[in-house]
Amino acid sequence: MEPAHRPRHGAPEPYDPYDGAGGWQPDPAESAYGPARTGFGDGRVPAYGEVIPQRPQDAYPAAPYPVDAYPSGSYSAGVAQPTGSAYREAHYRDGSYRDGPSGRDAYGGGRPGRNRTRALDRSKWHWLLFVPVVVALFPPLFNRIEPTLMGLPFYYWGQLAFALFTCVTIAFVHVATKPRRDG
Amino acid sequence: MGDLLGNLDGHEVQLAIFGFCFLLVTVMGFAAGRWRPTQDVHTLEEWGLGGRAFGNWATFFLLSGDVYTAYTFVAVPTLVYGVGAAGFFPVSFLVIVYPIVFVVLSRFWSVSHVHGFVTPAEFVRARFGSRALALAVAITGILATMPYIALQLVGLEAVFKVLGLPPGWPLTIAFVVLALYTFNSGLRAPALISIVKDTLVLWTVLAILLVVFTRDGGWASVIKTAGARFAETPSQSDGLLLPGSGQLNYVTLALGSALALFLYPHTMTAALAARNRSTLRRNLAVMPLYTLTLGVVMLAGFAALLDGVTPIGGDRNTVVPLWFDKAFPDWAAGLAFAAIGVGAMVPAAIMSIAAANLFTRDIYKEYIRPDATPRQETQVSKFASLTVKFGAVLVILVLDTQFAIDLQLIGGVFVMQTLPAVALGLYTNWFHRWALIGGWILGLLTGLVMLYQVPQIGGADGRTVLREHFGGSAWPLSHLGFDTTATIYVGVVALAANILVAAVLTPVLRGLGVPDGVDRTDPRDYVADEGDARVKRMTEILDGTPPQAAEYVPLPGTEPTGSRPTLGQRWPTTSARRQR
Repeated sequence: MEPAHRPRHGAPEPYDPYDGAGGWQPDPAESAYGPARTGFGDGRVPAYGEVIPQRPQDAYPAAPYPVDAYPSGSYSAGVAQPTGSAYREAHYRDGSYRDGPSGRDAYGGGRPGRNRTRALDRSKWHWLLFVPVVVALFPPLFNRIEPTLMGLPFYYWGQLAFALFTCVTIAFVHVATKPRRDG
Repeated sequence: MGDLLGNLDGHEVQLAIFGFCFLLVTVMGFAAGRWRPTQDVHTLEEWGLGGRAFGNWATFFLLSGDVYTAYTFVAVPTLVYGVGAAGFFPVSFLVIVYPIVFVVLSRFWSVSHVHGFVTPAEFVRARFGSRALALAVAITGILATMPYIALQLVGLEAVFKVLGLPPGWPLTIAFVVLALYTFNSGLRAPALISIVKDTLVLWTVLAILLVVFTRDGGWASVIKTAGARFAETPSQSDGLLLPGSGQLNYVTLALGSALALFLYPHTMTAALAARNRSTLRRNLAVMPLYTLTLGVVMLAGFAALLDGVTPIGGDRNTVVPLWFDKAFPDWAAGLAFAAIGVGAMVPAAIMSIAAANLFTRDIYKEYIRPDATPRQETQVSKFASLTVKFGAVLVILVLDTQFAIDLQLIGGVFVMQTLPAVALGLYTNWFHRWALIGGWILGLLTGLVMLYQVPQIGGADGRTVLREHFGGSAWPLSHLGFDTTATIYVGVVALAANILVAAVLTPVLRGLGVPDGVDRTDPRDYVADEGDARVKRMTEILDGTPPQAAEYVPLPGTEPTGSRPTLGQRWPTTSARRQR
């Protein structure tokens, strides 16, 4: 098929893990993650093909985009493209930019240090995971003999009980943060 | 013949059972190559990641085989035997590691599946646009993994000592066979034989519990004897509870070990082989339960104290196998030995594959032959895994066991220094690539210098300095001028220095106008899951059945027009078409 955004003739095909599907469509009915979790940019969900510039320096021109205008990577450019592993080769070596105007720039990828985004999989439930970590790293809580269980000091059976507690906590967080699938 | 066999001394039954399990595992290891075969086995993702298609059970066995190694089962109860409470830290770190990796590794899984990464170094290269940083991560990973493989041999060697086999050929045969079926079957071999390992471990744990419970007094008398023994010794660092000065070291050691564990390349390899995000997360939620088995084996260290086990030739790693031999019936001891033996093979296989993948993807393909085909990649990786294993055997046989232990100690501290690039990199690309390299160098140097300063203290009175340098990872705070006997884990300090330098250098380098690398990942990559258009559909290639996941509907005007979908592109399913 024809990729949605083909670079100018002669330019190597851009690495595109979305495989020409034209980018991600943030439709709540179809996306496993939904717009509520997209909390980056200014909170607005971009329409397909739309660019939401975050800062002036990130506002690249819209399609058809000139590949050469994009900063090239630090990977050695111009290495011959071998057959058979073009998928990854394009990614590592051609130095071309990877996604179309609907892609990275609107989301803050591309240039380290220039823009940071919040993780798409962030969830308040993840804070719960700190509980078993802190408990297990606080010896005054468990550094005692009493109460014993079947002759074992609390220090030993208590720490084994933390393992069970951790298991339950992670399982709970897993269920609570599982993306809901529609359909 | 007598010399060759050593002095079995009534261990025939144990040896027979051990040999049977070894044969079973060998057959399974070679047969694993035919387990869910695929049309094209000659790709690195097939050989080195099992096609990225392991389901719940296979992932469980792979992860458990990876984390709970023979060395853990042999060396850790010895710590409890030696110092009591302070030796119990592995239970702590094997609990806290899972909440951490539950969040972090799932992001790593997603980004690796979108981009086809096999190693953490490839991720770093794409994230920070730095080949130098990727090389640093790859070399650190390989250096840290190799002594860890050698340590698995130490576990195996302890069992052979108890069986009365001579050093040398049994160990070599075991590893040659292991190397051959890993060469043949790739990551599928350890995943399959780990089923045997986990069964044997579960049996051993049950046997320990049965033996102790059916005794007079049960655990109470075991603990009482141990308490009395620790009270006798002049050393202040042992006891049934943590001494006040040992708490800082306990906490930092647990935290540091947890961080190091998931940065080891072999943990990442096992995680990447899961077929989807949920499989990985589900397994990480269940894994703390496996720590219970380790806890029980560690308590066997106390039981060995009660039974007055004295290590063979001063090799403390033989304490637990010796206790099995003494307290269990012959056949049960044979099964327990087999558990340790198979428990050495599984992680050794995974580690050698992980190290081989690092070499192939990040050194061979980056610097030696950039145009290598997938078939060449796989060949190189297979031979690299052979090399790594034979290197480990040589280190143990020619050099010294202690040398391997020292190297592993250093390796653990070293691998932690990749945390800012790999783990923090999964969350932010704020760090400058050269700042990360600067932090990495400083972290390595700090770690090395501090480890050099740690003496090994022991002897009859517990105060004699046995070795001047590299005596452990507990750095005395008195070096800083504090009047205390407290110690701190070296790795945590080195990591703090590393992060500090990276954080300070980043704004400085930006201010100087040193260019950043280009980040080739996208925030969406970190949450991708099986069934998303952008994740390669390995399961489908393998099984011929589409994975059960959200239906992907192409956007208007982009429906595939060819005869078949391109890689990663999904046909709209009938139900999805109907909805539109």
